[in-house]
Amino acid sequence: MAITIGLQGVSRRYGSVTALHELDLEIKAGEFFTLLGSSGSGKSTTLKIIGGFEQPSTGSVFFDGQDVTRTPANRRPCNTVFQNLALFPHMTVAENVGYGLRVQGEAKPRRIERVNDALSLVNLDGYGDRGIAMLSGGQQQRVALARALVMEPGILLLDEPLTGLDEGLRQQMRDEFGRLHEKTGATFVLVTHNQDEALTLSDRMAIMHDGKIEQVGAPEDILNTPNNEFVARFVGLESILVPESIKADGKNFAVSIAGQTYAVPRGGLERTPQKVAIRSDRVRFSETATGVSATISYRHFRGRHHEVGLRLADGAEITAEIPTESMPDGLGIGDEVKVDLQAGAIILMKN
Amino acid sequence: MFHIRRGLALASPGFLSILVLGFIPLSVIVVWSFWTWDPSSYWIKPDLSLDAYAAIGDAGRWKVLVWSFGKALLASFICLLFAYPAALAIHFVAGPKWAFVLMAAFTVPFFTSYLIRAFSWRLVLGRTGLINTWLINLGIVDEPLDWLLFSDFAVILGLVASYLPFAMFPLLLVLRRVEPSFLAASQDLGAGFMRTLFSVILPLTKPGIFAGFLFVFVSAVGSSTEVQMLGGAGASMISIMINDVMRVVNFPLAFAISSVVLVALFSLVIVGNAVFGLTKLFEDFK
Repeated sequence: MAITIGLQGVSRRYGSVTALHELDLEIKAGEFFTLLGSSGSGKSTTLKIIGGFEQPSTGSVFFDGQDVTRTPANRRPCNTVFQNLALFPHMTVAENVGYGLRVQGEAKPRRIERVNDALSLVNLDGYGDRGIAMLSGGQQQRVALARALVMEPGILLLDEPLTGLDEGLRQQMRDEFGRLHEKTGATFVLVTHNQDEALTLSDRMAIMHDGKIEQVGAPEDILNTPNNEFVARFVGLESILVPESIKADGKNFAVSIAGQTYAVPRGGLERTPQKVAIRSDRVRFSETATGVSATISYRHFRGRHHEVGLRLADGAEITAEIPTESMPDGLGIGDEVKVDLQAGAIILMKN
Repeated sequence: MFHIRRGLALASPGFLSILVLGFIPLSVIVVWSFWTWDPSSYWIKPDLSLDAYAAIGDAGRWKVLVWSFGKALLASFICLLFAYPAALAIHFVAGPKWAFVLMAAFTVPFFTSYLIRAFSWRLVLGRTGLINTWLINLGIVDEPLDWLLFSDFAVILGLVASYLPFAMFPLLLVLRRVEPSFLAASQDLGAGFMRTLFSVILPLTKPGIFAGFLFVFVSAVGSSTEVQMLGGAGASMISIMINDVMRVVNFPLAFAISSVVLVALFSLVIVGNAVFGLTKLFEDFK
């Protein structure tokens, strides 16, 4: 059932504005793929082109190798959960979910059966007769999911479906997506600007910026070797600095930061990188007198951890997340400290 | 409590003016329709009689009533038929600039007097009017077409031209309930345009369709100018008939006819609201 999606040389221009530069992308059958980017990055345009709601200015879209570029949205084997859900307000829950089947001409008894199956798939058994306006936000989300999934699509497109939900519901629906992906086996394509969503759900993800794909890969690969500074910042690696030196040293790179040298595994990198990112959760205050010298530039209490700004001896600014229980007492702004960069703290960037 | 009292105070001029300007004259009309009129002295006496209502059956007056409602009904349907696609185009297709231009195009004719507007159709439809001149010049007909002017056709055309905008604005208002994403969702689920039109757009715009119908129907039932200017010999309309009766100071009969029309229109609104949910039109404003 799951369908492979191929985009070849797809671009989209609106007048003189280029929303999407020529891009090539292959999304494997049955994969949970995420398009991650801020607004205006072209991620929604890409999704609309896959769904058939936008025509690419150049290039072609393939489903399982078949060119569907000119196929209208209503004849594509994919269904969408829209950002604002777009549930029909004049229909009950069951009528909404059964709408696509009615259009297909599915006979009534079978239709009722399939609608009920879809509703129980999203844990809404018995809600069929309710009006849409009587449902909570999370229930409406589930109806929108059921309405798309009842069509047994080869591809499910999710257009920022969690925007506008409160944090608890977000978590809950996020888990729901994972479960439904496993259960249906369809190809899921999620559009989001939320890196946590992307990292937890995706098999692979593409990070988009200014109408281009900056990096495609599994979440761990992107976290461990971001292509560039933009990608690093987007996945939450805020502290980026230029080391004093980086030298190839067998299987490792020897990275010198403010007088200290660290051995960082190459991880398949050929060229010597220029910049590195520092994972703030792998920075600790040194218990001995060794380590990088730094000055505290700010500290904020964040509940389970303290966010501490550190100015290193060479002037670079990094952020450290220190667990509340291991935060030393009496440290204030301007104090001199020694910090350790633990294993995995230094992230090499390709460019 | 304070807020409620202040709200009432602010709303009271509105309520009062509706009461004074609307309901009091209407009640006078209904009460006087039960009075009696003496044809020999033209004298009106307070009474509780149904004579005036019985007189509606005389002299073919009920025919005028039925024909007026019929013409108004036809004009309303034609207006909706024209206005609906236009409203769809303005709402979904036109950008803000074009939407303004198109709405202005519908409104500008209203800048002239309704007399002039009706009269201008004589210049278009008459024996030596624009259309007949073209038809003859193009060799399509040899003789000017007579049925174009001073006919029911001309009356309906005049009514449609006059009241089309009244159908447009409720439709534009109600179309705001149809979010573009509904159309995308319908398409996503496999529906073509016609399917979407009948399953999503029409059901959601029902209240506006009825409101548009009502505006045109009520205006057309009460119209007289179009019939006087464009109708054939002997063509009548309720308001013309009432005018004739008033000339002989038969107020009870005039008011009885008005009361019948009032009751008919009120029933129409009540039934229409039950069926089409007119109040849904104003849901956004709550």
